[in-house]
Amino acid sequence: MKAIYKREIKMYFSSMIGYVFIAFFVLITAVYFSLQNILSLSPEFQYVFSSVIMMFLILAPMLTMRLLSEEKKQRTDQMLLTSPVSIPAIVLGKYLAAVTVFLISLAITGIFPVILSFFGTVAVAQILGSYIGFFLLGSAFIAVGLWISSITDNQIVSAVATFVAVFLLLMVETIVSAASGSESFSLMFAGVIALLIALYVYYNTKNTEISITVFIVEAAVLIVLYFIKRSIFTGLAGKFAMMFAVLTRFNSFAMGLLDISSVVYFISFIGVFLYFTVRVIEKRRWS
Amino acid sequence: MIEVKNLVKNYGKYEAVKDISFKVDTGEVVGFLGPNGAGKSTTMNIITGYISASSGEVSIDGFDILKNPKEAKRRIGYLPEIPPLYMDMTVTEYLNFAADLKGVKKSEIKPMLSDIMEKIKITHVSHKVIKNLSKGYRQRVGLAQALVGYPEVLILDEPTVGLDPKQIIEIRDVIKELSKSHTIILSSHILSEVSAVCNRVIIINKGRLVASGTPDRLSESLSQDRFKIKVKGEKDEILKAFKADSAFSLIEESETTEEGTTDLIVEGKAGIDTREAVFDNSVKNGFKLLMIKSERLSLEEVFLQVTENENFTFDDLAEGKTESGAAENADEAEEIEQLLENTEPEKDINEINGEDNEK
Repeated sequence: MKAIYKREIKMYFSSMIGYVFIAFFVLITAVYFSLQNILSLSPEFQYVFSSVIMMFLILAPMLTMRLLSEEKKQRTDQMLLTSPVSIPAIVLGKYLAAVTVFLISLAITGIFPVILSFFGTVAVAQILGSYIGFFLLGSAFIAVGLWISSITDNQIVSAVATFVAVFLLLMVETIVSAASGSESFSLMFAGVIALLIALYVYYNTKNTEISITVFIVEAAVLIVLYFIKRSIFTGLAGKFAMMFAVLTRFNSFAMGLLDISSVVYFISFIGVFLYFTVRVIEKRRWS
Repeated sequence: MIEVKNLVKNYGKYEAVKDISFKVDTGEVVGFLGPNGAGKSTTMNIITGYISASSGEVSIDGFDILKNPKEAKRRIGYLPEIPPLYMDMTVTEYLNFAADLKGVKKSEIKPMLSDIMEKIKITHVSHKVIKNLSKGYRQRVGLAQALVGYPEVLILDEPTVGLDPKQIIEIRDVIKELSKSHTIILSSHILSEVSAVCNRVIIINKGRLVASGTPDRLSESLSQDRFKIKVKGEKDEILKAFKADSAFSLIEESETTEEGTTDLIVEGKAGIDTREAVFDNSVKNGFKLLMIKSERLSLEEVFLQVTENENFTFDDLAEGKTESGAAENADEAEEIEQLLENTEPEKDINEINGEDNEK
């Protein structure tokens, strides 16, 4: 894991990506810092982070698009996978390298609240909280990006897909409140999930009959439930989607709350996507 | 050292490897031979743990590649068909990374790398960025990477493909040097290479192991009691005379290089010494016999015969007769070796491939 981590860090800083990332990150944060704190004479730095969240749309793909897709394309994954290093170690090494670059840029922005503290009273708890929240949020996006880069061997595809994924994650709350669920909408949504499960079964077994049977059973259960106990469908789609509402979780940090459940949420979120990444690589070896 | 048992690999419905089993002992140099798409690379990828077999077992020095991957992989150095190079690293950086990856102790890295670079003769390019290296040097860097950590087993997938003749000879020399201290499996579709470097050949075709043995034994066991003769005189007359003789089961014309002579390939019927029959026939008809030479199959012909013949199995070879005699002759062995060196295997291989594709 150490070898992979070291190489990735070296790559970030020998290929410009690391510098561009840090420069971009610090610049955008500095612009908002100037606008919201310096020019409007406000010491509330924690709101800067809420304003700059959108830059993850570009930053997350930038850090992760190459990580695993390029290994596959250059066939260097053959070297990694035939060396005495386990797949989780490879994934973790790469993930930690990306997070390190993010952490470095985050540390540089630490200078802004320090500047503020010379001229006024800063809310230390809230700023610390928003730092922790912002770090966890960014780490979650990086995990998603890493997973996506393990699926494709094309950097551009990986970047665009990560952009879309981060966009959707940022929009979850908006989408849910707009499409507040009628029961029939939730039924349709459950139907789509059922279909996805059936497709996953097909993908793994390559057996058409089993997959169709699975889907029919699922559909039957859903329809029966719909007529017997319609109430469970109330807001089901929304509830499901809110599982991915990373922004809601982040906001509690920005208010200065160190909400353990949110910390656990982010760590599990990251864990799940790293696990997915390992599975994707493992799966390719078996297919 | 390496034990492969009942290896099967399916890609969907396509069977890339069908029940391959073999053993490689410590110190052996084994050549994997087969046309493109025969399953060589797949087999090697499974042995090294890059992909997993659908069923079957691979163990390296007693360590199963699936159950004990760390120990097994530590013993293998692998050079895949396309060397796994990070193009934007320098050679030294890259080899350092390889050493880190393989868990070489910090204090040992430096002497190890300089030793390896010396051996592979890449010391003078050690500070170059890999993407600026020529194909031959990239191949060497790939080979150096496989050597890092001094693994006991080297698995080399077409180590000389795409190199110019001079580079091929150089890489081959390196492999010969390495074979003194390593167990090696190398794949190739260049037969002269295999016969030059390996002490055992495994022929794979369409995912099956079709033959296995030393290069000499393979050609020996497949060759019949067949001779090439050179007779002075007109072709028609000589052919007629030999065809009239009931002692021969096969008479074929062969290309003649000398004017005024006729070359034939003849084979005597069972129980008849072909050489005697040729002599008797010549005397009877007053021909001047200029040459009798045993026609032992070259490895190339063995390869063609084995890969073209659908029903050919390993058993055929195992039963193969080992006739001594003229073939044992040292001069002749040398001649065959020269023949092997001079022929153009590429052409034959392409023909095979063409046929494969048609099927």
